[in-house]
Formats: sequence, C-alpha cells, structure tokens
Amino acid sequence: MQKSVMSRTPTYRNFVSRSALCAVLVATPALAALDLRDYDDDLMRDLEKTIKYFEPDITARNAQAAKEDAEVLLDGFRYTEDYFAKKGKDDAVAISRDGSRLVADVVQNVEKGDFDAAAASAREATQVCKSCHEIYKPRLAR
Amino acid sequence: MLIKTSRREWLRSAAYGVGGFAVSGMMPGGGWFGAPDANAAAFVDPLAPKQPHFPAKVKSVIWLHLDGAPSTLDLYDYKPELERLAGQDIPASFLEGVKTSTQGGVGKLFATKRTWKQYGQSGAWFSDLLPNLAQQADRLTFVKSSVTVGATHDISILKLNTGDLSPGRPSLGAWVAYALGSANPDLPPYVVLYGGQREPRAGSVNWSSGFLPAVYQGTAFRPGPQPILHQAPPELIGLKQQRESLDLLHQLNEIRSATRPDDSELAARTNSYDLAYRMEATAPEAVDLSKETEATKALYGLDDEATRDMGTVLLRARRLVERNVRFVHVVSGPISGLGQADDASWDAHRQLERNHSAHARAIDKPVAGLLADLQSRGLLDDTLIVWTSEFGRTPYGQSGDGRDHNPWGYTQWLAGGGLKHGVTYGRTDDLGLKTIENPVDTYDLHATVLQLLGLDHLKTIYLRAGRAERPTVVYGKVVNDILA
Repeated sequence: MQKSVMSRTPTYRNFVSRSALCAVLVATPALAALDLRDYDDDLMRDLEKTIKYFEPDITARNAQAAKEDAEVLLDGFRYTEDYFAKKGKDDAVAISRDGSRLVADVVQNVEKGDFDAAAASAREATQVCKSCHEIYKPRLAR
Repeated sequence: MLIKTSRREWLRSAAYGVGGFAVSGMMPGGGWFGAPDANAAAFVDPLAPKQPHFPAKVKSVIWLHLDGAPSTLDLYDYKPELERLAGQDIPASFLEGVKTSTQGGVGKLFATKRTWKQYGQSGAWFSDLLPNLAQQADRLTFVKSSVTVGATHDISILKLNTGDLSPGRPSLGAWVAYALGSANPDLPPYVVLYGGQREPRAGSVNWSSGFLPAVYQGTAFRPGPQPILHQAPPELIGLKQQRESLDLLHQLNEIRSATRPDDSELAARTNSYDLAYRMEATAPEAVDLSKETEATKALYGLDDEATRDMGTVLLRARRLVERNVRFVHVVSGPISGLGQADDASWDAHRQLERNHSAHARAIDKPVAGLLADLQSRGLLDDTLIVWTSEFGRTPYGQSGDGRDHNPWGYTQWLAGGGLKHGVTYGRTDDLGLKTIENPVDTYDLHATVLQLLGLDHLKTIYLRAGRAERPTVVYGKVVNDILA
C-alpha cells in the first residue's frame, strides 16, 4: 500500500483549516439559498487589503500602523458579525468573533511591545478570514 | 510640486528607521533594507553569499512549471469511482463549496482511456502516460491535496510563482536569490529555462524581482548556444581587447570613486561589467551540451524528436545546479502540432487524449532522466525538484473530450533532499474534484521550499514602505509531514 502522511500537530491554525473544511461540507447546502449581495463589497475589499498590511506592519514593529490596521479590521469583524447574525448564520458569527478576539490580542501585544506574539495572532486572524471565505466566498474556477 | 503625504504614510516613514533597525537581525546575514545608506568604500555586493537561518537540506531548486495545467487525474490521482460514473452528471454533493463559472459549463463526468498501475515499494499510482517517471516512484513525494485560486491561467500562474494574484510581488526564485545570494559569482543565482522558442505566454512578471532590487530577478536563458541576448561581444572585438577596455574603465571608475565615496552606483556598475564579462564565457559553457556523453543525452531523450526540447531544457537545468545556480525555474513549452496558443500547452479544454499524450511523452523521459542523472552524480540529495502547475483539471468534462480548470484539488510532487520519499500527503474526494484532507496552498509549498533551503519564511523579510514583506505574503505553513 502507498504510504500516507497525516498531520500530527494540531495547532490552532490546523484546527481552523480543518474546521473550515468540515464547515464547507456541512454549511454549503444552505449557501445556495443565501443571498450575500447586500454585504458591503467596498468594506470587504478594504479588509482584504488591510489584512495583508497587518502582519507586515507588526513585523516591522510599526506600532502605530498596526493599531490603525487593527481598528479597520475590528470594524470589519463587527460589521460581519452583525451582518451574519441577521442572516442567522451562527458559524460566521462565531468566526467573526474569533477574528475580533485575535485582533484585540494583537493590539494588547503591540502595546506590550511583544511584536512576535502580535504577529502570530495576526497570522491566525488571516486564517480566520480564510476559513470564512472557504464557506461564504467559494474559490472560483475560471 | 505639491507632494501629499497622509498622516499614516508619515507615521510609517517615521517608524521605518526604528522598526527596520529592530528587525534587521531576522534576515540571514543580519538584514538588508531596500535603500540602505551606502558608499563606494562600503559597497556590499547584493549577490554575495548569505548564511541561511538554519542548515539547508538542499542547495538548489529546479522549479518545474507545467504550463497550461495538466490533468493530474490522468497522471497520478487514480479514481476508480470516476471511471465507474463516467458519462453521468456529477453528484451535487461533490460540487458543494465550489463555485464554477465555466465557458463550457459543468459537463458529464469524463474518464480517459487510461490504464493504471502501482509502482515501486511505495505503490504509487501512475497512468500509462508516464511509464518512465513511474520507475522513479520511490523518489517522489506526492502532494495530492494542492489548492489555489483558479481564475485564469495568467492569474493563477502569477500566484504559483509570486504568491499574489496581481503583478508586483517578487517571485519565489527572486526571494531565494535575495536571501541566499549567489553560490557562483560567474552565473546568475536565478535562471529561467523554457521549452519552445519563445518566452512563456505569462511572461517575465513570473520571474520578476517585484519590489526587491532588480538584481534578484530571474535571468531567462534562451534556447540555443547564446543563452543571453547581446551577451557575445561583437565579432570584431577580441576577448583580450575587451578585457583591456574593462580594465581601463575600472581604473577610471576607481579614480572617480576616490572623489565620490558616496556613489554606490558606480561600484555596482563596475561590478556588473565584471559579471557580464565573466558570463560571456561561463553562461554559454553552462548550457553547452556538446561535452555530455551520448548515454546522458539519450537518458534525457535528446535522441528523439518528441522529447528533445524538454530533454535539452532539463539537461541544461542539471548543468546549472551542478554549477551551484540556486534556483532554476523551468517552464514547459508548447507543442506546435497541437494547435495555437492555449491548445499547444497542457490546457486541454478539448481533445485531452491527444493533448496529454503528446505532452506526457515530451516530459516523461526527460524528467525521469533528470532524477536518475542527479542521483547517479550524487546531486539529488542536494537538489529539490518540484513538479508544479497553476491548477489541475476537473473530473467533469468540457467540450466532450476535455477538462476544465480545477483549483480545488490537484497533485504536485517534490523530489530530492530533505524529503520523505515514496509518500503521499493529502487527498482529493472520490472523483478528484476537491481536496478533503490536508490542503496545501501555493504559499505552503513556497514555505516548504524555503525551509529546505534553510530559510524560515516568516523571517525572510524585506522592508518596504515601513512594512516587513515576506515571500508567503501573510500566509503559508511548512508542510512538515513530508520533511525527513
């Protein structure tokens, strides 16, 4: 038999990506009926841009910029939480709260000067975004 | 001229100095910042070798991009269920979580006339399209859970090489050249080779240095005896005469440098002239196959019209890694008999049987020969070979006898040093449409390649506009389970 390698280190990130994969399988039947056209696309574009600045600002120890990024992201996670709460999507609400918690961790760590811990939380926040997109923004072919 | 600077930009600039200084220790060799204060006396060769973060498992990478995206369902990822359900609609459950927006729609499930067999101690599956590579089964490490964003070829190829969907970021090879420098002062550390007579359609943005200094971009070696345009001196100028001219120029530049010690550009230019002079001899020699034995040429298929093109490219790749080129970026070429543009690449939206038979034949023997040759020369343990593509292809058909793009689950493989060989990581569903275990995105592949080169992808940074940019953008995790 062909040897197979399984992941053996259940980090938070692995947990998130596996949860996302399961969530895709469980949640997507309902997705077809879910209309997301009233989500603020401009906000999402801004969030996607900001999340790509977030960790690089932290790693560069640019505390002020990191806090400004955090502000934008926290606003976005709050909006997303409210938006999906109104749609009755508890999984997306939980993911948004995870995101808010991680961004708050970043701000705390930046204020303490612990940029390594802040960068690690920022990376987890990125994964949180991805995990929600796996369900509600499926990857496009062509 | 009024220059508007936002508060945010100003704050970033102010933080640049402090933050940049603080993170300098994270880079191999102590750090390198976009525009460091420098003077001619303190000129540092940007291609000087730098120490990795930790001991490297490999010295060089051959990054083999199969342009157009092969159907790995017809090469490696055997799916009996696809054969069983061929001709039927794909069950709706398999399409959950994927968004298809195809020109040809979602066709019936499509199975080609493949025969499948397991090879080696590992029992890896290969179709009859790759009989030679199958003999190397136990040297390969399969990732059968590759995922990406599959919009169009150009965009996904960009992501494959640079990690982003828009141009502007450095390619993986450029990051390697930046982080490790050159291991051979007479050759570029990052070389691009391609099949066919023209540069690949997605173009040089895929070996660009992006926001890194231009010195780290890939150097495309053209087919033929003179790999670099305008490299050979004019016929009327002899090497001795050229050397004397350069020596005179060097002396004049030194006189100038003495009065202008802040002019780092002059030192850089003098350095470039010398590198170009050395490369006049070394680059043609590095890709000159005339001294290779007939047996070696035959191993790569140079004695067969069908395999000569890719055989030549991969034999050149071996010669380059033998000469310590850090990163050889190979792009498979078109096959002219298959049609124009996309039809000539692996992009089999139609006539997959004809397309893949020709392409598999063109690459099978050369790539198997490369692995065997590297092994016999003791180079395989120091080299990493990566078979990649921008995405895979769908189990459902298109145009009756082709397949569409599949970014949700496809196979790539690695071979060489630092890997567990003969293993398979991750898997797709029973039809080969979606990854259902251990997804590996392009960022993860990049992080793993860097890891094998001794580089921590989180610490390989370049400060730009107050941000610490890294090769894996804000993503990426090393696939530790495939590392020895």
